[in-house]
Amino acid sequence: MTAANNPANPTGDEAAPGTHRVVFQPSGRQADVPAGTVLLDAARSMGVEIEAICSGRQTCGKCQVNVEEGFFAKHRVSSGSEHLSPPDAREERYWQRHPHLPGRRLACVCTIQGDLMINVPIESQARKQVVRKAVTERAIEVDPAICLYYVEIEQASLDDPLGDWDRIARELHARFGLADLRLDPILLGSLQSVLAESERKVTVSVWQGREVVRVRPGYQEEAYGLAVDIGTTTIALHLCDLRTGAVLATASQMNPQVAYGEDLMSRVSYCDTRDDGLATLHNAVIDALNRLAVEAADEAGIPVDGITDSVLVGNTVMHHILLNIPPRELGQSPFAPAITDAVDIKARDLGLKIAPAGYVHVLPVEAGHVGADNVGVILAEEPHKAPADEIWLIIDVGTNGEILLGNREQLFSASSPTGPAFEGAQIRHGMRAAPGAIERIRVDPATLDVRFMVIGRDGWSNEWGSGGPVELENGEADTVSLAPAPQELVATLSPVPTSWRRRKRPVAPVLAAGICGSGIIEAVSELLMAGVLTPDGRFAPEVQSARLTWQGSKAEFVIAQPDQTSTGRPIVVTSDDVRAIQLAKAALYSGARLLMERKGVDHVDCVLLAGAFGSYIDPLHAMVLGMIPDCELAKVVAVGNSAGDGARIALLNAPMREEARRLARWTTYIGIALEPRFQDAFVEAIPLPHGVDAFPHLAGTLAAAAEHRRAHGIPDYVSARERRRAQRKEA
Amino acid sequence: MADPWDTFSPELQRHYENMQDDLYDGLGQPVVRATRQALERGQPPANILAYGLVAGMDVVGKDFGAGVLFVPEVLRAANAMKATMEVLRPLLVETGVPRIGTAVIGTVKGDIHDIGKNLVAMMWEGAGFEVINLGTNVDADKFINALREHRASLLGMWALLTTTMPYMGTVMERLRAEGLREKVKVLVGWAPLNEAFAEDIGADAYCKDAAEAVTAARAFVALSR
Repeated sequence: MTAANNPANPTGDEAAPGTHRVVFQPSGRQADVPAGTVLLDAARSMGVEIEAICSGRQTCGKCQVNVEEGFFAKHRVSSGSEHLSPPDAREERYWQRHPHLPGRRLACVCTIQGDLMINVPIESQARKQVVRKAVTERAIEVDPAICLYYVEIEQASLDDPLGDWDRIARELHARFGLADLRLDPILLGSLQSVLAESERKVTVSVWQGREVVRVRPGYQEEAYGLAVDIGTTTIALHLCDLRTGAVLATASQMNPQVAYGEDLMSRVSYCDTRDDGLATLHNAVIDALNRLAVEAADEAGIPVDGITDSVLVGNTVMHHILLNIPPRELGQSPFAPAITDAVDIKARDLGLKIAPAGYVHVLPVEAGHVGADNVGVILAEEPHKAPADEIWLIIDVGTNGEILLGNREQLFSASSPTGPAFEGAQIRHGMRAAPGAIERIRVDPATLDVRFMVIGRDGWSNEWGSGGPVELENGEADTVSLAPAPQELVATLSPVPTSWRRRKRPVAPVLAAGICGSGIIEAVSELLMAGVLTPDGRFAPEVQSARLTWQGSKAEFVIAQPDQTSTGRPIVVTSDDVRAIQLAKAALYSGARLLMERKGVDHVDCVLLAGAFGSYIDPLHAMVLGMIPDCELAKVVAVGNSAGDGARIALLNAPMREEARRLARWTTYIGIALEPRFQDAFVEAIPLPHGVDAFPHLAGTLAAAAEHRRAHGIPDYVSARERRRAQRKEA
Repeated sequence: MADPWDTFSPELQRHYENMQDDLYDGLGQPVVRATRQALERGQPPANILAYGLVAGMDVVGKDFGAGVLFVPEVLRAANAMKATMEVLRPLLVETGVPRIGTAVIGTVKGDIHDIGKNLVAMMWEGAGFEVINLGTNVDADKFINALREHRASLLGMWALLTTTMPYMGTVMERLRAEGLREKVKVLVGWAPLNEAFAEDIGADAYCKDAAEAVTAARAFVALSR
């Protein structure tokens, strides 16, 4: 098996003889590659784009990568630096002339000698990941934790030896009624020089009416804060003006912890099994936050130490690692967090380089599996204000699906173990939402022709024109264009950060490289609607199409033809892919269903799809797949990155931090895995769209699908007698 | 050795085939009815188990492995089998028919994933094993006590979290310390485990799905005979 035809298959067996398994992070691409292959060539054959401007002459040094050490159970890879050929004379020469970061290797010279987990650092990634977490526009009452006060104080004298800080405090008390103020002692070192420089006229920043966190010369009116959502795979940071509430800049990147474990549990294991595990993951996220803070501050044209406040949200594991709390207990039943209440901590105590006395506020968590990010969702979507005669369902689709259900009377929360299938893992040609990912798919029920859209290229594939990529003239600069947002979202999304557009270079049109989460959802539901898939999740053998090929009893359906893909090989959806998606969606649906049963309702009035991913899920397809319960389609709404919005709300409005604490306690967490009906509800939810529940709002669509099946004589389920008859016929 | 099946009348063969088909389709009541009819006609309980139920579940297991059937269909069939076993089990005990083996199964301490493990438990029952299902969050003591009490020859340990799988190693150590290791075959499953992990902790096999768990369990029983 060559690197070329081995698809990413995280559950595959060991690498074939003569080959080694190589995994590239953060893209997660993997393949078995012949021993001795140059690492850069392997990366290219797998569609992993590493910068290499000098095309392998060891001059540009852009292709630097790191080798991760250790055994990575998920990929069955035992990686170590000795699995790359040692640096040869060419590489040694490069490092003599350039600063050598620890562990870095040049991908263009070293060859593969064993299994490898390779981390491609951000600066070496040729195509930056498209991170699509944007801020929606919301009206937030601005009442921040940081308030500015301008004071003028008198010079000390021999008769009046009161200290300078005490004079400021006295003045603040007298003029603004601020009592019992304290000063972060770290400010003392520069206090007198600031006073001297400004003729004793200063602006002080007071945090929560309790503590002075900044003293600036003269009259100032700027105050800045950060709202950050630390996701398992993505970190999104918004720099906000604390006076106006405006978002000045947005910066985001992959969570660098991905390299140490893609899902939460493997990160918990990483912390638990290595002495420096927690420190490594903590430092990784802090480094990323510092980088993003600088990037955002640069874009907004402010100094990064002008940021005095920040609100962070994340799931419970991200929360613990951020706060340097060993997440061990979150890895096993009963999944007890070290703290559920909100945390205020000095940014410097976490290593966060904002204003030296600046604060970090971390929203409370609800339970071991429902974190501060979910509290952020509640703050942003306000299900606790829903009328008592309505039932709202809010689903945050990620590696774990977090679910909220209820109204002003009662709110339930739960976490569904959806697994990573919706993020492209466990799917033959699955990939994350990055340029080249197929994100929309349409199957014509009559001809079974397929058209699709990929991220980074406008228009449906059937309008691409034939003949593969068009080479642009040298110098005719084009930019990597971003995925078109669905029209209805354009109005609510903030402008794309300019950093995504900065790279100017000629590029060929993007070809399909894989299928991302929204694409796989559409693929499965389109195939069901076209009668190619049966409600029990099988490809129908009765269907005649060149796109549908069989190996034994398992099938593959071609979505993208070889001339439409970057690898020159077809991109398919397989029987096993469908099964993986069935399990993931059943986990999500059964979670929602059990909360409905708890609440004693048989339907919901609206479904809010939260999270970056939620914005790209088409409501019809999600419902046909059976991810979400039946509901009027117009009432299924993508609400964007609600967790990040919640962080922004708590940043700009300090009283909402108290409200968040109250809501976190008020919301009833349900451990759905322990519900007596969990297994039944889960199994009932595996068929497409569901084994038991009716979908009146899909009546027409599902009837049309049934009609397509009838036309081809396709039974909905396999029956034993049919099976016996077919076998006898064969014999 | 001649297959007793060949000595059955065509009509009896059809009866068993119908039973297998109803089991495949997950129709509990018809299978129970057919079992009662077979008993009334003097069929020994052991035959009904072997040619009606186990043979039927075999097809189910095979089609599950091949991807034709999925979890709901398998559980429906297993539930039909379970209902039938309620009728058959007392008679099997009465007539002293030896079962092919007794298996203890559970999800290890700290882990509460239930469904995949239940699927294996039911498939093992379908293959003719007596299965003691200890549920989830099972500690070493509970495994050891159950193995002793039921004189089990097979132990299945399940985990779905990277954080809980190391506990399997703890159970293995206890098995060795208690002198039970030689008496049982140990199967472990599944994601995020692999063969290397099974080997590391000294288990006898890693199973990546319920179909493999049945194949492996059968192979061990065949070996021990």
